[in-house]
Amino acid sequence: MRKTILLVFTYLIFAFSTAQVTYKEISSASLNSERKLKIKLPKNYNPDSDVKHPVIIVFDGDYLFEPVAGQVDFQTYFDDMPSSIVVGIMQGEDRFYDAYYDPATGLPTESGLRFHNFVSDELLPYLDKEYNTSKFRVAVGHDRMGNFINSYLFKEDLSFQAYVCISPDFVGSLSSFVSKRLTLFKDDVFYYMATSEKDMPQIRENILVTNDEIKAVDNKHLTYYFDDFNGETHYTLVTSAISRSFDKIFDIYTPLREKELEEKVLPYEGTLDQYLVDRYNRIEKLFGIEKEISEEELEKVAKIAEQREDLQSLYKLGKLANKLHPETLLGTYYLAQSAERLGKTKKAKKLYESALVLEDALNIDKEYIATKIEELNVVLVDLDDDIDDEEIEEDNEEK
Amino acid sequence: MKNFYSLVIVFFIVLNIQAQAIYKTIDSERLGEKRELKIQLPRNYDPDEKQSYPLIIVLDGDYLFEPVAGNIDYQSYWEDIPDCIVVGINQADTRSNDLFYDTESYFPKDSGAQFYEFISAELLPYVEKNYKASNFRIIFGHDLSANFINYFLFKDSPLFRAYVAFSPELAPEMGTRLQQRLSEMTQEVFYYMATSDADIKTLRASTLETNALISTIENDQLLYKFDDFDDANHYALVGRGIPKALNEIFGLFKPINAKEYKEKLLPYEGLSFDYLIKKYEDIEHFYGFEKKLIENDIRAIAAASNKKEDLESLEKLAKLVKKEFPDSMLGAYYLGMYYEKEGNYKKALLQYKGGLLLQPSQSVDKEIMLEKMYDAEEALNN
Repeated sequence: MRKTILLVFTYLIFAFSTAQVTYKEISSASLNSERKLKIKLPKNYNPDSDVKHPVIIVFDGDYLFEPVAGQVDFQTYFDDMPSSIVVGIMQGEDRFYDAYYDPATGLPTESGLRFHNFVSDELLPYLDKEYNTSKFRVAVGHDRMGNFINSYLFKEDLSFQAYVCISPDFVGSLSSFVSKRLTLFKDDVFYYMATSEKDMPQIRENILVTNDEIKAVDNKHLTYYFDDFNGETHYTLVTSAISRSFDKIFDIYTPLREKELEEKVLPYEGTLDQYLVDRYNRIEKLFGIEKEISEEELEKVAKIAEQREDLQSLYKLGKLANKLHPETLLGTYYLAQSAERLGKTKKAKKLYESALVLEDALNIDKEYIATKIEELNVVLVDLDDDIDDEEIEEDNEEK
Repeated sequence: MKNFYSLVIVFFIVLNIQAQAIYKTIDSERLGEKRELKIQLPRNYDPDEKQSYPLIIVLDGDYLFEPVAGNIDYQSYWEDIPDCIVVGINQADTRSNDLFYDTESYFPKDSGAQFYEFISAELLPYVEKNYKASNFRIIFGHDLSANFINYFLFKDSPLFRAYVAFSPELAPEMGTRLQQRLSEMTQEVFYYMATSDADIKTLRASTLETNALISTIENDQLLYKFDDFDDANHYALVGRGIPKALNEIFGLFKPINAKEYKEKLLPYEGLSFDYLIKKYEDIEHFYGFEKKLIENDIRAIAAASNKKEDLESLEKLAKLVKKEFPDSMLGAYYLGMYYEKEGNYKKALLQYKGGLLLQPSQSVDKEIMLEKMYDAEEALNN
């Protein structure tokens, strides 16, 4: 008998540590019943760490949780979004009552209102208490629940910062209120809506009208995306919509890639360190997450600085690199390079020499620095330029 | 103790219903090492059933398994595609060795050849031995692994029926080799390939070139689909491409939709019921696995039968439904409908009454049955 127990126990542990989806029940005072949840924590989630994670609430978790969790896993793997906590609410046969609305306003009433309150007043605080959550929350709803999640737009304090309405079945006057409400936001809000060619005709028609209204909204705090998928039905459009909306919600979080470097960094007016710093400030402000500027990204931007022969940016990137990664020689290398290009050979040489005591950077090692110094030695033989020693000290002091 | 057992059983059942991924390690002789697999079985998978399922092999399972598995779970939930068995192979630490090819022949060599053998001679037999996998097999790859999947095409009888290549990093000459191989295929093969506007430039260029080559092929056996996504990078295109590829591969499997109903079912010259049987036979022939009768299709056939006053089809359909779903109201509902159309209200009433005790279906519940019952009673009394 003992063996059986042991076996079962091992199995439990195994299931727990590998498949990260856990099933929980939460008892709700608003609903006066228990509600089942599916929860997927980030890989290597550590309850004791300071790292915070956005929360993604998936309504109709019975069928919608798995494709959302799959997309989140994929996107997180490439650092295209911050690692997040995905929570699916199982609604099963309660779905009809959960989404219960006033036919005139389209807003939840009676059992629908109780479910609305359960999510905002019980579930979200519960998650904040149990897990390391950031202030950024996403709501995903399809069909009736796509209509339902709009009710959170009308609260004073936004429960959700991003809304993914997949083929929402708009009811009553709700859809026309949505665009009016979106006009008024003073905090950043993300809104995504999708329909498809073979969507249910009535639903599709309402969505297209609503899209026209939202498109006309002029509010810099609103980020709005809309998709009308070719050839898809009310059901098959869902996974395409999940993939599109999540790409867009976390657009600014993604690592710097070819396209951004060419289209945004290269023509950027101002020094490029500022571009990087602004970019990461936006990420922190929006998602409540501190993301570090990696050496790799500094290198990519430095390359662009060279491409536009922008020695000032190179110099400033050097300063930034020294601040962020003081242990490596990357920053000092950039400072040295900008000095060298400016013709301040002696200063450049001194900087290169000071780089020799630091750690190698990703793609630049001490060997390479040593060859640079030798090169400069050759040049310096013929030169007798005055250099400002104070300037070098000043540059290095700031480290 | 008894309680304890039932607890354990409940736990297992819950796991199955929720399509939880299973993590396995397989010992490979060819590779001379262990390899991690991720496996997702259909919800309510039952090893004792005779039903078999299409098998999906996902290379780069470390990151590609979850979005594919999520899509499969979702789409099969709505019966848009069949339930499938999904197997991901983790490659994070061995990727470049696994996908290695010869610099002269451009075919897998050394560690690459071993990985190829591992899949064909070890992994597939292993999966088939342990799970109910059908011969209809699909393989997914991204980037370098999307080049590798092509090598399976060059076997005399290819191991896979469908190939999904997301932004492939193609080996030299692969484009022309693919063109040649795909044009001589004698069994249906699906080939899906995708790139995007912000894809890695070199990959985009070679993918576009290869697309131009494959597009010229005239071969009925090749079912080819290509996507060039707007506003997506090398990674974002994956999430967009998965549903497209599945749609394409399981196009024939899909429930009867409004278009098929109007353009094929209504103009069909024989019995509507025969249309259904033929459709399901075609599916079985094509995919090599049986499609379970779904309610959507039952309703479509019933609607067409009613519209064409084809009572024979309605009767046959009702009897088939009764046989396939003995516990559901659905059979009684349609048989009742048949008798009603025939003018035999007494028999219709009996069916509706009997049906009340059975399980409601997606479209037919107690209220509908009661309503039908009252109508029949009224007709009987007049």
